[in-house]
Amino acid sequence: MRGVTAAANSPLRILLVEDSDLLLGVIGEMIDEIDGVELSGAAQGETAALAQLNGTKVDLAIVDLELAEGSGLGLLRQLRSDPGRFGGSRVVVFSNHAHAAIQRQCRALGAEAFFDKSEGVEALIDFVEDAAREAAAGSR
Amino acid sequence: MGGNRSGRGDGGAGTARGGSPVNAPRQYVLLACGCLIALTLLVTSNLQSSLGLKALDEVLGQSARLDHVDRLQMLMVDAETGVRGYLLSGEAVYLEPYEKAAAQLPEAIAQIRRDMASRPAEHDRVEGLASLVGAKLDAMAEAVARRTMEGLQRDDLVGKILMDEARNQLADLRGLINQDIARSIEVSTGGFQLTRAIGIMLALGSLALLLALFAVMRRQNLLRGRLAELLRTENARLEAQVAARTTELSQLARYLTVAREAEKESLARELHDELGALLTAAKLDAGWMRRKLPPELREQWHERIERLLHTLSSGIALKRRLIDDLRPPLLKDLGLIEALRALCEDFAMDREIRVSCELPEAADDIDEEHALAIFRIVQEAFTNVRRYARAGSVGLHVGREDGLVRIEVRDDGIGFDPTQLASDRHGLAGMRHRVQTYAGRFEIDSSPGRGTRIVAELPLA
Repeated sequence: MRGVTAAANSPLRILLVEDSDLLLGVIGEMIDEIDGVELSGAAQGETAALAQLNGTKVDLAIVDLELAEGSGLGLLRQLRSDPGRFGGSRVVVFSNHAHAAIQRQCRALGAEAFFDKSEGVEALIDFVEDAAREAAAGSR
Repeated sequence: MGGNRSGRGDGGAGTARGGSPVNAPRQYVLLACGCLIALTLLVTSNLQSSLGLKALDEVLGQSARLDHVDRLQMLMVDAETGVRGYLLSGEAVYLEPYEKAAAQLPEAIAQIRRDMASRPAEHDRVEGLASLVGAKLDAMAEAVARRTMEGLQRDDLVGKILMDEARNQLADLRGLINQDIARSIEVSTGGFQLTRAIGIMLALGSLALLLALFAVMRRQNLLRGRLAELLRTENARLEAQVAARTTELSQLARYLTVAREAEKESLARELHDELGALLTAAKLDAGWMRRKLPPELREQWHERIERLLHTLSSGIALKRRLIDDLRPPLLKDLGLIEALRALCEDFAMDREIRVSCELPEAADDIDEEHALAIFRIVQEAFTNVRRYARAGSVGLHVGREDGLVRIEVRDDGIGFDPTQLASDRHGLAGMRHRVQTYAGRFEIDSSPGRGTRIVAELPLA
């Protein structure tokens, strides 16, 4: 892949917010395979995710809407209300809630993209790859 | 009193029949008594007046007889006075009253005969009187003749004796008639006393009757009042019972609704968390395999892999549909207003139906339970429109009116006759129950060919 050399310098740090252990594993592996990406953390609830975003630098948060505690929309709201505090991470939503109203709401709350868990995996991977390339280009 | 007591005793068992049948015989008896008294009064008053008239006639007749007796005596005295004057003076002028009286005497005697004809026992006395008068007339005529022819005469002793005898006889006759008068008066007095006694009895009877009637009416009024009071308290008791039961049922229905929704929610969560994760993980892995497959195998495995992905997609879609049916997918995340708006959008996208949607600005004060009920009602109404209405447009209006939420869903579809509809069809019963569960008001306005309007008012308390 083109970004291999750049990625080695500054990988795209990704936080995965997902309530299912199984999916956390599957998606984590999938993301981890992408060049120039580093899975910097995982969270299963809103509060845990906020703590991670607050404590470490995260470039991209991949957020599921349905969480073990709190919700993805709640997380988006928090990030939007205080962008400086959470390091201004980019956020995309990866969820089963494919409803247009939800997608609109997510975008209104600052999510860059919405990917359907069942049909949008490839698009998510493309998005992450693009983001990794952009990050590498930016850091060069 | 015995009747009274038994009547009251029956009252317990016969309450359903009311108070009047118990009193009916007593009332009929009272009525009969009243009629009897009125009839007796009529008869006795009639009898009394006819008796009085008869007695009056009798007394009048007897006093006429007395007059006749007096007249006879007067005529005799007149005649004798005239004769005596003539005998003393010889003047012819004294003869005139004598002759006049003598001429009238036979008629006076005849009158007395007629008067006494009804009393055969006194026939002899009357005849004796008649012959006495005749003898007196003869004596007077003889005395007059003697004076005319022979001059002054001595005392007319025979005439005097005859006159005295006639006087006696007349006095007897008078006494007889007076006795008759006294008897008549006595008889009619007796009659009057009897009718007076009867009158008093009847008046007392009427009085007693009135009192009895008053007592019966009073008792009936009391009974009626007691029955009304009983009915009132019974009604109040029943109403209170119905209200209590209704509240109980409403609470039960609410509990069941909440419990059912909670069960659905938990089932949906399970489906999402477990089954959803499994299917999604499988699909992600399958996708990974498709991406990572070596080119030489990709061709060979293509069909199977695509089918696997498709099957997993179908499974995920099915799971999603199940979850959406089990719980409103957006309510929790978006809030009531946005969820309803999304429902409208879905509906418009799903079908070629124009959907207009009027929603309040905010509904933050509506708790989850009520929000769910409102959402479900709209959802069910939309389902009805989708299934039955064949509508070109549908309008949703949700408004706030002090303390309640008013939901109106109208369509321009084929409508139906709400009176003809089996209560169960169209899911209307479900909507109605849901509204009733929250003590709301539910109204259907529809007729064939005129569309349908459903209004549900839900108190928020």
